[in-house]
Amino acid sequence: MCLGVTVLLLATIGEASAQRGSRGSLYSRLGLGELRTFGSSQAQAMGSEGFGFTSTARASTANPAGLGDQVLTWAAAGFRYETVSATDAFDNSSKVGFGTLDHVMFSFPILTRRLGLGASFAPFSRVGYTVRVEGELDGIEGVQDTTRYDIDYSGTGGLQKVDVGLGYNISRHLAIGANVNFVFGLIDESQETAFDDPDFVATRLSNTTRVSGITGTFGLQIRNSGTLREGDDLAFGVTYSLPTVLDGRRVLTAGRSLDRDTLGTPQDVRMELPWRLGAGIAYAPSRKLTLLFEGRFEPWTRFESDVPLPGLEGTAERLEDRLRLSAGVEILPAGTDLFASYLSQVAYRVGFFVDKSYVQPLPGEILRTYGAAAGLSLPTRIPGTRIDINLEVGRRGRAEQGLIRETYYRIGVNVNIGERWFFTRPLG
Amino acid sequence: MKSFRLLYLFVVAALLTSCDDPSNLGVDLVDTTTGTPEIVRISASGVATGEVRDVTGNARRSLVGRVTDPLAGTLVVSAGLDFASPVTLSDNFEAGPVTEAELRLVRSYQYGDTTSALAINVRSINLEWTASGSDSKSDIPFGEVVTTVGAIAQDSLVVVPLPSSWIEANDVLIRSTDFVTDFHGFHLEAAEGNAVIGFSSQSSVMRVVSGADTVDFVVTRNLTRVERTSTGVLPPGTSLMQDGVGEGLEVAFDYEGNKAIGAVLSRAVLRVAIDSVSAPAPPNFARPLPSQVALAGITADSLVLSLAVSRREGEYLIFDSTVLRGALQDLLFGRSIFERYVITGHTDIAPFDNTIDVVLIKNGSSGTTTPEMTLTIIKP
Repeated sequence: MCLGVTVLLLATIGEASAQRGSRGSLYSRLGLGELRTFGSSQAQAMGSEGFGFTSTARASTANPAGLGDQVLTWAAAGFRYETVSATDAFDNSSKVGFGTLDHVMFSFPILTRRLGLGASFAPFSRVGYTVRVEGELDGIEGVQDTTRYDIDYSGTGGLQKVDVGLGYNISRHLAIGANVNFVFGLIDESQETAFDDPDFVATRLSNTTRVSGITGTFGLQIRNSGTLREGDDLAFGVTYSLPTVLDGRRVLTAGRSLDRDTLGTPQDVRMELPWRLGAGIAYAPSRKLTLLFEGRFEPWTRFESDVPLPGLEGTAERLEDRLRLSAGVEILPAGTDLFASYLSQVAYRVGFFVDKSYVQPLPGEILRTYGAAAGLSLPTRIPGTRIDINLEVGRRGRAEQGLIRETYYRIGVNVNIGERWFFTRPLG
Repeated sequence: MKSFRLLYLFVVAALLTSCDDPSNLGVDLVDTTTGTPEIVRISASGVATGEVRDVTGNARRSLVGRVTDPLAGTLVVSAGLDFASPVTLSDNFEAGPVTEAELRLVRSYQYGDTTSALAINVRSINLEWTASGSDSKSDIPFGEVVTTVGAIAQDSLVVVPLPSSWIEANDVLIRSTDFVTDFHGFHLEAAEGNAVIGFSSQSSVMRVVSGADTVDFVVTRNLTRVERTSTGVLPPGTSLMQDGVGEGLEVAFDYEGNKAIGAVLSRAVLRVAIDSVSAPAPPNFARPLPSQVALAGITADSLVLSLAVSRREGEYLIFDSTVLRGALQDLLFGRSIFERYVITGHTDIAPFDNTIDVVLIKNGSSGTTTPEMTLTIIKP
């Protein structure tokens, strides 16, 4: 029943999201867009992904090695609402807000706490921006009058990622796992020119790049209990994703939706995304406290594309190796006490991160995002089910030399449903 | 379940409050070299007289006459007119006999010497003919002369009494219901005169008196044939565009290698200079300027499609329409269905007026202004 409601809800979200042309960070124009990272809602509230987390107590697909340690069947979904405020060197500002689907996950144990399977869908990157340029077109006496025009440069879309993976606990201390990652998506870069004079026809040119590819992610977790003190848990997790080759097509069109004209010949697209490495340590001195330290490295200077991407036209010099570092803490006052007060059973999370972007917005300009996250994990009447409310605030860029400083706020609502499936209660 | 309802409410609220506020913030991060509109002006590479089908069948008026214009040459114009009796006729009328019959032709157009006296031969048409869709070069079958009538070009009404011999020969047919199918009309041509006059199809009738009842038979079909038998003398650097004669002015533009090729088109305006002073009409000579001129595209199958009608801006004709923009957009994308572009005096959208109006267009030779296409393009 619970899962049914979730599926219905997600169907509604997906449809609604598809119908709205939301916008976001102007920096998402660069390259393949703003890279998204998501492992679990628990780790998200700690500014991290959760490479050291298992799927014992909540859905997590950050590290496929964690999928082996499952008891319950998990379904999870999250939705976020985000506002982005931008300021330039002249103190001009703008603000946009939009909602997006954050993730959908499903996992279940094949052999309890030994072998598990998980699948997830989450954005890999997101493009969403609009910039308006105003101008005036000179008139010609007796032919046409001078007219003002607006050009809206905008981008929408992004890449999505579907992961299907298996995790296996080799021993109490060692787990391995692997994911198949299907990356696909569509990035639409368009410019729409509209005139004040109705005798001029508004035009829209769109460069639509559609790509897809498959890659794999391997994960390893090393866990130990009683390392620093009795009853503590220490886990080290690492994931390695193979380089991803994306193939597809780029089509230049003029016009809108069904009225589009294809200009020229569609262009074959091939791009190679670099390997990705993620590693983290999760340490829980007790059930009441969990600490997390993580890092992610992606050598985007190895990125190759046979078509120009926004901000990377004709040069690879503006690529940077991406580095993300984060740390977070979770406090669960009740620990394992199921009879503690409701507030004690709420998990309180906070974390910080810094993320160096893979693209320079201007030559030589490093773009970093500094952010803080926090969240509450609210237990429900349904055992094993929690609703996580996560907040994140971040700042990136600087308001100098034509750049902008962006401050974003995200609020996410995530549902984690854990139920015991495929279990026959013995009679008598 | 309350939790799920709360989640659902959050999602809906988030979607409803999504906002988008385009600004020029961060414009330096965007490649603004594309998307900017620019104007491309292309002069015509050639202006030449070309054949264009000029549909004159079932127009609002029929033209008859012959005229010699020092500018346009000599035109011989004839028309076919067919009439039909009302659906119901009085018993008196059907009882007959027919005592009088006349054509009452209401003038709605004149070209040429306004004082000229015309002699109009009215002939019978004995064979079936087609008016609908026929053009000004179509033949109209005709038989013997029924009567000849004199008219002054300025007369507002030309009455052609039909002779008693014709009335007696057609008495029974006129009063029968077979008149509509068995009577094929009259052919009108000018034997003398130096003018062309036009008769309104809506107002002209064949008036018949039978059994003391008078009934007007209305025009059911008409067709005008125009033939130029000699050309006139044009001022240097000009080309003649005359309606009705099956000719147009082909205007060619060389887009090859132009930066407009492959661009998106926001507006296309053709400007053509006219010459209204170099060749004034002789005294008492009416030479109407067309109220509108069409720019038409002609397909490989000789299909003529109107792309724009002109508006007058001083000494210029301006062609500016979304249809023209669409046609040229196709051309810039390399998929035009048109082989030629012609300035012509008609649009062929029924019901249309028949004229032989004349306009002199500067063709760019002898230092005159060349027709110019102004394209507002956006390069990808």
